[in-house]
Amino acid sequence: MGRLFWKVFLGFWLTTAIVIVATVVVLSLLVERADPERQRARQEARLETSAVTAQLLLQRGREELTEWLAEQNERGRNPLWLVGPDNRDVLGRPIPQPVRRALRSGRLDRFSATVTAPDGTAYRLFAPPPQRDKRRDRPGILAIGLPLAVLISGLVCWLLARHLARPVHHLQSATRRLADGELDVRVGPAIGRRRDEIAALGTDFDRMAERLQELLNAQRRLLRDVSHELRTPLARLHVALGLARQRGQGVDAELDRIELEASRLGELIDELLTVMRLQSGTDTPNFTTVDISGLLAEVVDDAQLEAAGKPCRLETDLAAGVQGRGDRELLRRAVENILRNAIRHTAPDTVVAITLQQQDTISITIHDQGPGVPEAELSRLFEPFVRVEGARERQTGGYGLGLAIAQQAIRVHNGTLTASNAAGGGLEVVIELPATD
Amino acid sequence: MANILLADDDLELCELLRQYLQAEGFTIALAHDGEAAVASALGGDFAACILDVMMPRLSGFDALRQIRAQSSVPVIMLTARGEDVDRIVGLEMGADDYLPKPFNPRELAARLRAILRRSVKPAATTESIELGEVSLHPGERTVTRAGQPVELTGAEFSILEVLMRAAGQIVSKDVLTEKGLGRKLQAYDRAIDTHVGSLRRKLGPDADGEPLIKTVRGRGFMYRHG
Repeated sequence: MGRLFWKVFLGFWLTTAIVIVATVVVLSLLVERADPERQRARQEARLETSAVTAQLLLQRGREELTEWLAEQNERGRNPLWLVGPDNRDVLGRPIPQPVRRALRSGRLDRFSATVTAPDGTAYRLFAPPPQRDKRRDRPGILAIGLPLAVLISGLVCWLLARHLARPVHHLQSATRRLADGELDVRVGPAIGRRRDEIAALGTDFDRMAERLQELLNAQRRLLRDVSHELRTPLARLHVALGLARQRGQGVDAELDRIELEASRLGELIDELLTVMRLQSGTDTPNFTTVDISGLLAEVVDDAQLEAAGKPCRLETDLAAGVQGRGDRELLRRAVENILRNAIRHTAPDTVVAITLQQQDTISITIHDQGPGVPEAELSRLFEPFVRVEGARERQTGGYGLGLAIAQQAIRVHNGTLTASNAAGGGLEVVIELPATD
Repeated sequence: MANILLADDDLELCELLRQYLQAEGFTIALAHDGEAAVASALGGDFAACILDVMMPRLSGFDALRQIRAQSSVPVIMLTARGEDVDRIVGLEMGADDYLPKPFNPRELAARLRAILRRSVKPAATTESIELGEVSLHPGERTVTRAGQPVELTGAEFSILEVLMRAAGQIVSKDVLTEKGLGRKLQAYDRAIDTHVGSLRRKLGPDADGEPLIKTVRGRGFMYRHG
């Protein structure tokens, strides 16, 4: 589950929980306030009628009064007290706290009335506001009900969040896979039978992927066909050149030139195809455990012939036994292209240094003694067909594709390729590859 | 004159190559699709065949497989440049050499001569070599391991012979290319590596599970002695 899920889930849940708690608090406040108020009003009204009744009954005699009082106390939950001058209840009941307090202070509050007997004795009738009924205040309801409500809302929110976040996740991972060149990825089956905007988005994604796949396939086919078609006349050109050499005399210099250009054209086609293939990710890299130390030694060995022709020397400082995961052929090509570039640009009779180290990452450094590259051009060095002005001109050969191939190959390995001008002069290219555990 | 079969579907290229190779002293027969190439190669008496990988009806690889089923005539494959897979598949299926297209016809003529020298010229000595379980018989150009025959292509046989005669010593890649393939090592030439890889697979490892042919990093290859 990703961030979106947690955001939706926690956001919704928190909101619902707050709403639930707030509702309960406000409601209970309202109830608590409204309830005693109403009862009080009722009690006041009752006091008024009771006082009149008591007055009348007192005139008839004490028996009827006590009878009525007992009856009142049975019927209602809020008892009435009639206290005589001796500060005792007429019915002989114990006097409750609020009544006693009112008696002691001697003040008549709104819950009591004075009733005078015909003999002049003053009684006081009390109808105290009802005590809060502890049993009605069951705290259990809130203690269990509230968390339960929050928990249920959590469950609902969890389902909702999953319902929203899951297809988005599918879309995200599908997009990432598509971007990595997995063109046949579709989200339709994962999104299922829902019919909402997310499902529509999924359908659109599938259509887009379909179209992308078609276009890329077409492009790939076109490239393959074009390259094949270009190679055909090129192959004939080479043979025709050979024939011309067999027969012609005295035009060797011109034929050499034609041959050189024809070879360059051939190389260009090869490299172009390689870059295209790597960029489109059509070649599924064949990842194995690669002996990087051995690979470098091999590449350096292969380049000795070219170095001898320059002439320059190749100096190596290779850590032994470095292993990495990758496509051996791609890695070889990457290192080889960078090394050939270094040999091409290093000054004659200088040293090209190749270093291999393993720390947190595997790093391969190739350092030439050439003119380097203007700082402003460094970042563009690995783009296809970028020709660095000034220092590296056309006559040094190459079409600026070797380094682009190297970068694509390193990218496939989740590595990085950086170039910088070394302090002591010359260009330093560093390949960083993730180390295997 | 050496009779060469050239199989390529590009008629114009074939015609140009025929003129060129004839001037170099070869006699050329042409085939323009895979089926015709197989029929000619098996029916005629050719000193070597040149097969293009991309041909109609039957690809160069399929044609090679059918030819190899019945004949050990030397074969050079014309592969698409930059397609490492083509090179490896071609050599492992028994081609003697490969040349990426487009190529310099001089190079093709040189490789043809190298192959012809190797197959025509009897080995310097016909004395058999026996090292451990592996025996190599130059006379019949056969190899056995523990009495079981090992099927090798012409190029693989020549390379193994060079390595076994120098068992225990390192043979550099350029010496091996020159003696085994009869041509000069070129920059970024990986034919020897592929052949050695294929040889290792066919011969199998020794008792310790180590390959019989060892790569000596930066220096070449060595047939492990003893």
